[in-house]
Amino acid sequence: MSTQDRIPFDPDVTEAEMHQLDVDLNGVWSGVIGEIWSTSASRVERLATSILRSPALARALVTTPSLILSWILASAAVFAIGAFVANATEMPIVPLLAPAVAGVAVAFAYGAGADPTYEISRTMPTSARMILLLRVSVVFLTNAILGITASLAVPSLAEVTWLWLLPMVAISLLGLATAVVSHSATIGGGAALAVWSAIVLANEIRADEFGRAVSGATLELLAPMYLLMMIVSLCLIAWMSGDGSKRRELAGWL
Amino acid sequence: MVVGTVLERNVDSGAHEGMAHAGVVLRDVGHAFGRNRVLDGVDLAVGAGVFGLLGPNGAGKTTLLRALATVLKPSHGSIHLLGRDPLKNEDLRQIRRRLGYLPQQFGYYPNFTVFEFIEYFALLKEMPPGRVKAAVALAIERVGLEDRAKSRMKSLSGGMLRRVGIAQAIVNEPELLLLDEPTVGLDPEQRVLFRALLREVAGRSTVFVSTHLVEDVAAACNEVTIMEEGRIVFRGLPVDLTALGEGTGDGVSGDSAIERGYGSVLASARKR
Amino acid sequence: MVTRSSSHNREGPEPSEAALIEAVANGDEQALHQFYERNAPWLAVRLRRSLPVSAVEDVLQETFLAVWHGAARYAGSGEAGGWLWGIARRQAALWLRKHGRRDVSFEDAIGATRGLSVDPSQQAIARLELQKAFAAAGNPGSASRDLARRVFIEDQSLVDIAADLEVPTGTIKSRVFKLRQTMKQALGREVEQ
Repeated sequence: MSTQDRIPFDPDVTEAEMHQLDVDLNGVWSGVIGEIWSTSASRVERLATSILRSPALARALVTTPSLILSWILASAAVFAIGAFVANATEMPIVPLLAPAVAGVAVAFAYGAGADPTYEISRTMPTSARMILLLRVSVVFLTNAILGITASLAVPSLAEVTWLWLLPMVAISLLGLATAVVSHSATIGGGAALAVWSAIVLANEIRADEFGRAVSGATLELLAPMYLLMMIVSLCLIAWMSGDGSKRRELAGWL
Repeated sequence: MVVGTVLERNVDSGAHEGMAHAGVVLRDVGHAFGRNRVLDGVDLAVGAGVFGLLGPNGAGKTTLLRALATVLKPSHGSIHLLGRDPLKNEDLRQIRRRLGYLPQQFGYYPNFTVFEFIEYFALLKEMPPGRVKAAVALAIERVGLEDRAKSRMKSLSGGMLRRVGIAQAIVNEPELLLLDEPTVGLDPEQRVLFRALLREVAGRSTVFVSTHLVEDVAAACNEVTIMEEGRIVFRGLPVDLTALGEGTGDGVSGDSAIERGYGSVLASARKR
Repeated sequence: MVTRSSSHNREGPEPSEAALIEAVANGDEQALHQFYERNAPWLAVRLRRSLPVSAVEDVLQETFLAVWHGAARYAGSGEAGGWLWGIARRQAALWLRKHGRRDVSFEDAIGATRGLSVDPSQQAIARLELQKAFAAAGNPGSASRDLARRVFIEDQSLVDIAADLEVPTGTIKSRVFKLRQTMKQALGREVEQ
């Protein structure tokens, strides 16, 4: 078929005009098919985009390994069971669980070992530190809200101070720092669990009372230790997660 | 050795050209994992073009690519990419905006569609938001995945996944493109299309392709670099490698002249 | 200018425009691509005569997206090229409105109509005639001028116009009839429907 037959015969348009056309027709087609292929972002992602003012960060948040729905549901279930047991037995299960759950979740907000696209993500101009900070904050907040909700559902815990949030933060940061240094979310999560379990057990052996680790007195006693844990972890994280040369020296070792 | 001197002459002329184009400059780059020297005194200066990286497993190709991709900082030596210093934060950001990288092991989010996945990286590469969709669509068309643009990643075959990987690497029309084993899982027809894509994309960019398929290198690359035990043991044109292969007798394996050339380079490197 | 060819070439004779549009209505992306390759060039030329490059690119994109979403409404009604040009004109008008280009009169911007000869002087005459016809419709800002714009430039259907102006459809019909008469008289010949 000749060109004339393919293009609708239009005497108004000359060959000369067609040749002189400076419009990027290929580019326009890409725009058309791009719109057709794209899917509109979920409501959560759109909300995140407007708050963070960056579609990249919003999507990075939505892809956090420990923010996927199944993870959140699992955490919620753990807390719910804890609250139920606590109601039944009057033992402070929720404060005991919270640091462990948060610790593991926060460690898994870190990429390596958990985020399948971690390697490529490290070559992106969007600051890895920014993404990490964002993910960790949101993960921690989510778990804190779940924990607080659960503890509010248990009336017998009313007198337990909310100091248990302190070990929750400390253990979370410890888990994250371990994850960052070891380059593995699993190791970080494991460390968080291990350290917290050790603290709980040590306190039980000491006083032969279940849940001693989260009693008001113990929390006050151990507060300095938790604060130290937090400071050391923060330093390690800040040092290791940036793109400065020092961190990359150590990362070279890994 | 004769092989070395012929190539050193090529390397010198390449170096001057490289600096003028501000592509990639490596000076005495070395890296060790513990006591294992993975890179050992690598000197390289290249400008625009497609550079093939050949070598046996463990030769250091992946480590070199990771260093160029700013994933890894070598334990010693200096690297300059696109005329900038990756040790400086602002320069690093500028480099990464103009970078494309496909690692050997390529992970993905199973529930993302092909379009969403590539779009994610286009956004992370800080492309102007208004241009993202068109750029992603173009990348998808270039790797021939138009039919699968809206399919979920988990439904793709290995070869298709690889092509998605290539698409995310080229979506921002990078000035520095690093591909580690990009043709794994691609059938011969797709490999031919890939080579055409490389030629189209090369233009004014610097492209490094690491592969163990010698014929990929011959067809698509301007220059070939062979690595062995962390060192560069050959740098020259594909025809030079073929020429080396034509003169060899028995004792060097390989079906084609270029494969025999590759074999003889490795053999003489190991004798040192 | 040559667009990237579809990677899958159709076997057999080239499909007609109507067949392509029907395929598009069924969600066939390749059909849209073919339709694009055939029609985008001449559309671009037409638009380019009175719009800057960036506007042409935006309008083209919106036009073909409108084709993608609205192909079902075509249903073989008239010539495909005319249908497409109608969409393009609407999008161009929207673009001009969005970018606040009220100083450029729509009639001037989108004046070229189908079926005119290639001769530039003829085109100039045609444009003047169109301007004359619109001038006869009333002063700028008057209701009849607005109606003329809606009917002839923006291709709004009578039902839509009636809804917009909150006036019964019947009233609009008779107003448009009177308008056509007026414009016809001014030109001394038939006004294109």
